Amino acid sequence: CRSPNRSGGHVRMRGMACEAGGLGGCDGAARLSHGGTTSIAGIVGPREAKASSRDSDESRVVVHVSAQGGGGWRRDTEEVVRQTLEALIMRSYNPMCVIDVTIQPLSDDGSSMAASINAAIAALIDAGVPLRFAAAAVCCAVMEDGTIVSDPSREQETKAVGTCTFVVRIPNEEIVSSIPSGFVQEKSYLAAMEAACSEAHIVSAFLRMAMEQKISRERQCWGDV
Amino acid sequence: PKMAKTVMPGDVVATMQESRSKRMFGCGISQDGENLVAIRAGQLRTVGENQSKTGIEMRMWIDSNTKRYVPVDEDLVIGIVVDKRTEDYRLDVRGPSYGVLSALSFEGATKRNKPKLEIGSLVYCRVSNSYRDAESELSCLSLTYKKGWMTGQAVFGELEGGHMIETSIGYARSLLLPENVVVNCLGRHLAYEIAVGCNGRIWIKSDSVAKTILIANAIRNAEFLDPSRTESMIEQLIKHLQG
Repeated sequence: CRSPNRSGGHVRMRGMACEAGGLGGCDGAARLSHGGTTSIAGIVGPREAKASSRDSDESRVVVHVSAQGGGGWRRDTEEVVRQTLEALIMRSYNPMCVIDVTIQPLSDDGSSMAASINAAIAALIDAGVPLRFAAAAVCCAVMEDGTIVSDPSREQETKAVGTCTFVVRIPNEEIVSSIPSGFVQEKSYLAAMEAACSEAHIVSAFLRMAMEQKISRERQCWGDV
Repeated sequence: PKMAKTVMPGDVVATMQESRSKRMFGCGISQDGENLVAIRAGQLRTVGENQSKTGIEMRMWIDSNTKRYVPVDEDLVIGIVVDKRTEDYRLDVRGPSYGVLSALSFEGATKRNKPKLEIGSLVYCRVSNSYRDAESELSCLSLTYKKGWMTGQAVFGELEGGHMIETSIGYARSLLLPENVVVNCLGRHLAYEIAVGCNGRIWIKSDSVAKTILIANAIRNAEFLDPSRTESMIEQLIKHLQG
């Protein structure tokens, strides 16, 4: 479904699509799209970590992003995504274990980072990894005239003054992470943050719907376990 | 009465105030300050109890379907031997860590007379102790059925011959229900032996390779079919085998 653009300072998100499960070698997987941007994430774990990299209190999270041609991904962005997921995952539940997260952006029509993080979150939920709270990633672009565009397309991203991907905790709208690029004024940044917080509820509700469909289909096939 | 609702991680399931000393919370639910929240996506199960007997009014837990197994006490699982040591074996049970099976925890086993398992053997056993941060303990001792391991009629022990498949946890658990369609429908047409592990492993044995393959395929297919379609799927497979 596509939501109509509102006139005024805030342009809303494109339609989303999500498919959970489906990857054979993974414990959890999800393929998620914002408009024409698609990312796929796979989770293996929690499973026993090698003796050299074990942590006696908590599980370790390892993130691999296989992005061809860059696409805005660097070592430090991988690190930010890892820290974001570490904040989300209840690490004390599986000490001495490692959770491998592999993200692959498949197509990029803007907001690729947000699609990738949302795919990773959906895959974690699909894998049954214990999570502390619900969260969603939203990319916001600040345009020259001050308009905030949520979930910008590639064209909008190139025209923007700056963009930022926010990971927002639902329902209390706390910012978990912020991955910015470009130069914006403080008030534009805060306006983008507000826009991200309101859109994050929609993303989170959408993930809930996708999961509910999968669970109710299982119930239908297997009976009430 | 059983009620089910779908929850996502972060959903508040109850508050401490209304639950104090009245409710018992099981897997998938964790405390976050004054709230009890779900930490996995799944079906929230609520079962009422007779409070005068146990002092508990209600039990709540979350059933989630995953591919990776979380060891729980008294689950019956199928493990694969990965390491053989002097006093015990290490088994892969598809969980976050391996399980340890003592060499003597077989019915009627003594130091001189105990089963010899090889690496790669399948063992049907129960989880006697599960730990969050250590390997779980497994056992082939049954609490009720006392036939010795040598008789071949013990409940637990090595699964010889046959064929094993792996599915998701929720589906394997559904096969244990007495009214399960796949298992019963197959039983009407064929004679076979089946062991279902709560860790998503299913072992099948019958008197011919073709039948075993048919049963394995039927079980795999039924994971994604409505119960009504399952019966016709099985009948088609049987017709193909006989015709």
